[in-house]
Amino acid sequence: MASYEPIPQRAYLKYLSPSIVVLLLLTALPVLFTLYLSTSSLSFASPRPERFIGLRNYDRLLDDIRFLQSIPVSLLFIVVPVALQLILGFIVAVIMNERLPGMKWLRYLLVAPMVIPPIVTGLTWRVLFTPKLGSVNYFLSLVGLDGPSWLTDANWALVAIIIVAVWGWTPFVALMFLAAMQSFPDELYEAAVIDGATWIQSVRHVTLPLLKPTLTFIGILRTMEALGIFPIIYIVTAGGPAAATETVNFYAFVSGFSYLKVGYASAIIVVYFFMLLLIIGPTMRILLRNFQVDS
Amino acid sequence: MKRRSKFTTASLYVVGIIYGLAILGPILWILLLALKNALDAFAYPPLFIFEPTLEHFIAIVQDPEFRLAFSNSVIISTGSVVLAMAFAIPATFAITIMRGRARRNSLLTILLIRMVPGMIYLLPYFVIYSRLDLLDTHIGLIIIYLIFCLPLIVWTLIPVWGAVPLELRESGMIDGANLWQILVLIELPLVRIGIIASGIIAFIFAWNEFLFALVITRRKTVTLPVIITHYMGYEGYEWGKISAASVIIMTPVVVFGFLIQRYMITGLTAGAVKG
Repeated sequence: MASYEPIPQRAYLKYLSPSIVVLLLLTALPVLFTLYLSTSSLSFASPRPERFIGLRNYDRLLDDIRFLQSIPVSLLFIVVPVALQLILGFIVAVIMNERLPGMKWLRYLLVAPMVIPPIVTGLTWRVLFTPKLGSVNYFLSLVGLDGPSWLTDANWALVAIIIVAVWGWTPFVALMFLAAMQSFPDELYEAAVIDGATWIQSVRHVTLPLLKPTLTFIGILRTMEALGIFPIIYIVTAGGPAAATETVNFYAFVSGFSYLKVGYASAIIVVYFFMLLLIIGPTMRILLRNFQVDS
Repeated sequence: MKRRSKFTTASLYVVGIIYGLAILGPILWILLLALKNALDAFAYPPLFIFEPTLEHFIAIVQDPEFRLAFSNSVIISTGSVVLAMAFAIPATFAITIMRGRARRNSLLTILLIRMVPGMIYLLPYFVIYSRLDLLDTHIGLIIIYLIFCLPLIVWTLIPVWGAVPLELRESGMIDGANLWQILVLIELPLVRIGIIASGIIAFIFAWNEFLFALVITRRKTVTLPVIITHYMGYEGYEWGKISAASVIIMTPVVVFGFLIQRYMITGLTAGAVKG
């Protein structure tokens, strides 16, 4: 292979640098601008010109009950849906990986929730949760259960959002797990059978350990995306009832675009950004440790 | 190969079928709702057999607002893919020569950019755009979508392009071609499947995007996901229109999704994740 003169790496610089420059401009500048806005009094509701008010927006955040309440909601909408997606996704992937006769349709079906616009997913479930129009409570009544009023009860509204998030994102998790499982060597399973392992033991002791890196990777991916949950909340509960399903980013949206308090909303976004960094920090360490890439 | 008791097999079927129905159910429900007249839609217990009507689809298709939103969505999604491709193709061409640490770091950076929630950028873009007069323009949204489409395309293209032997470039040079010619004339045709697949994935993203479209667009450039929320307005929820519009919006992306199903999965795993 050393017989030819390789093209110098720097020849490729002009192919890569436009993307780097444009991405940097489009992402770093807005973040810096947000920092600036968060120290300003800018409000679209007031005709007064913006002025520098230091950390007063942040100071006000500490007393804002609605903001303080949105933090645990954000965490809830990360931890519970992602955990359920990973568990359910694993089970579904194991089932698909068994290649049961007559079950191939499941793999194709799972593509649908992945590509359906989140707004449509939200609307669909909004319909399903709506009394009379929807069917969730009808089907519950078939098995003798008295369905709650999903969208007007604070606790059930949280459950409703979690259900939609699990419905929408488990297929992605399952298909990613399946792709990984299909690359696991058959010999390991054969060896497990020779050693007298039952089916469930081979899942527990062969599949699960092999899946661990993928599990970590997908868990991280889903965690970050779960932090960005928006359209579903916007449509299904609109943050209600009484802000019970309002996440940090949702509250930032409401502050900025309903109450038009741009400076204040920017301060929320900055806090949100730090929440993101808290997740990204350890994440990057795990990713750097676990993943090598080669062609 | 694997030993499975009859009981296990039966349980797997049961769980698989129940899960499949749980996925299919809501989609079927919205489809049925779109075909029901107002009376049937609110019948209790719900009707599964009824006389279907196309009135909602006809109403939607004849609605000038919806037609405008449809063409806006096509323009913005296509524009986003084209612009992102112009950056992503050369970038991927360059990343394929990287090895080891450099390659890993560029891939992780790209992945990271893709995963940052859009809400981080929403306010500043709104303020900047209102000062630059870019609100309610196609190009305004297309520029923002570049943040997401560019990484998506690179990330999907890399495994496909990584399979093209680097020796092609050297032999191209020997034949007197420059790098640009090698990219366009030799390698691009070889990775066209990857280009199509990643283009479709980026298209789906732009087609589905809601948050920025909601804030950046007004009357002129409103897109499909935003227009559908207009039917939740003043005179209560127009469920017929909402469900018919939902069906129309999701049909193209579901068809696309089936077409490139293989790439949506491998694009994210192959070459990137190694335990």
